[in-house]
Amino acid sequence: MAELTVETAAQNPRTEAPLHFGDLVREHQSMVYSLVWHCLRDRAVAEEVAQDVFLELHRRLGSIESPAHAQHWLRRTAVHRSIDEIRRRRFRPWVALDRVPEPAAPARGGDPLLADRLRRLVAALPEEARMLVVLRFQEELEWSEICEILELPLGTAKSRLHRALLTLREKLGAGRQRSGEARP
Amino acid sequence: MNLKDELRWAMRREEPPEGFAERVLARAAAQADAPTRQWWRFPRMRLAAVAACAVLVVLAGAGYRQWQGETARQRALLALGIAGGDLHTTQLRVRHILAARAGATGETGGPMETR
Repeated sequence: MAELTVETAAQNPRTEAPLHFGDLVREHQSMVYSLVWHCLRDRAVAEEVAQDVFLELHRRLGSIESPAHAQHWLRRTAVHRSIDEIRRRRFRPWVALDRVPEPAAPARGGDPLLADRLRRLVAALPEEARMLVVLRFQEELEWSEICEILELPLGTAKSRLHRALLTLREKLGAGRQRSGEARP
Repeated sequence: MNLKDELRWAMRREEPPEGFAERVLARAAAQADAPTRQWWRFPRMRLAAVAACAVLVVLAGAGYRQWQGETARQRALLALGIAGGDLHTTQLRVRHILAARAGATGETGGPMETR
């Protein structure tokens, strides 16, 4: 059996340089963790799922052809593991979409309260819409990549994201309106 | 900021908890060091294998019995066919003999020549 250390490296016959598992983990940990965290909104579960994604990569390191392939594989696996986790645990965010508390203060760009509220609203979306928002706004992927990862036709993906944004805008607008009304 | 910018801000990447990479690497090393776990080492898998074997044995027994019955039926039919063939041959011979006797004595017909 080959000696495996923390810095496991795999040489794929189609690649020129070996891929170091430790480097891949350090480079992509925030991407994988954030994808799962924004989807599940539970830090403990997000860490567990993100670790599992990297362990899966470790087992398949020999079939990974390049650093770009590794990134694509990690992103895709993280998305599907997150969806599986939602379905498996019937994972719901802490509160339903219509019960998300309204912000106490009017929203401003870069406002941590607004950001937190938006994350909660996103986490209350249906799973596919949630992943669309995460891939589009966290990862800022092109439509072709999003469709490939989620295995959706382009038109479907666009219309679902559009609907999701409408829902978010409506919800956010309602919150702002209520905040405005509450003010003297 | 508009909604899309606000979303980009809200959904920006976050660093995982402290020590995440080390924990992953430790688990990966443990995974690599652990002996390969063959399926028969798992009690549930063993139980499933035993159950599958039992089902196979039962199915094989039932199939064998069915095959035996079918073979016996085929043999019986064959035997009946042979017996029937012999009977027919014998009957033809008897007719032939009777016809020969009748020809010799000038009689026609007989108990076997009713048709």
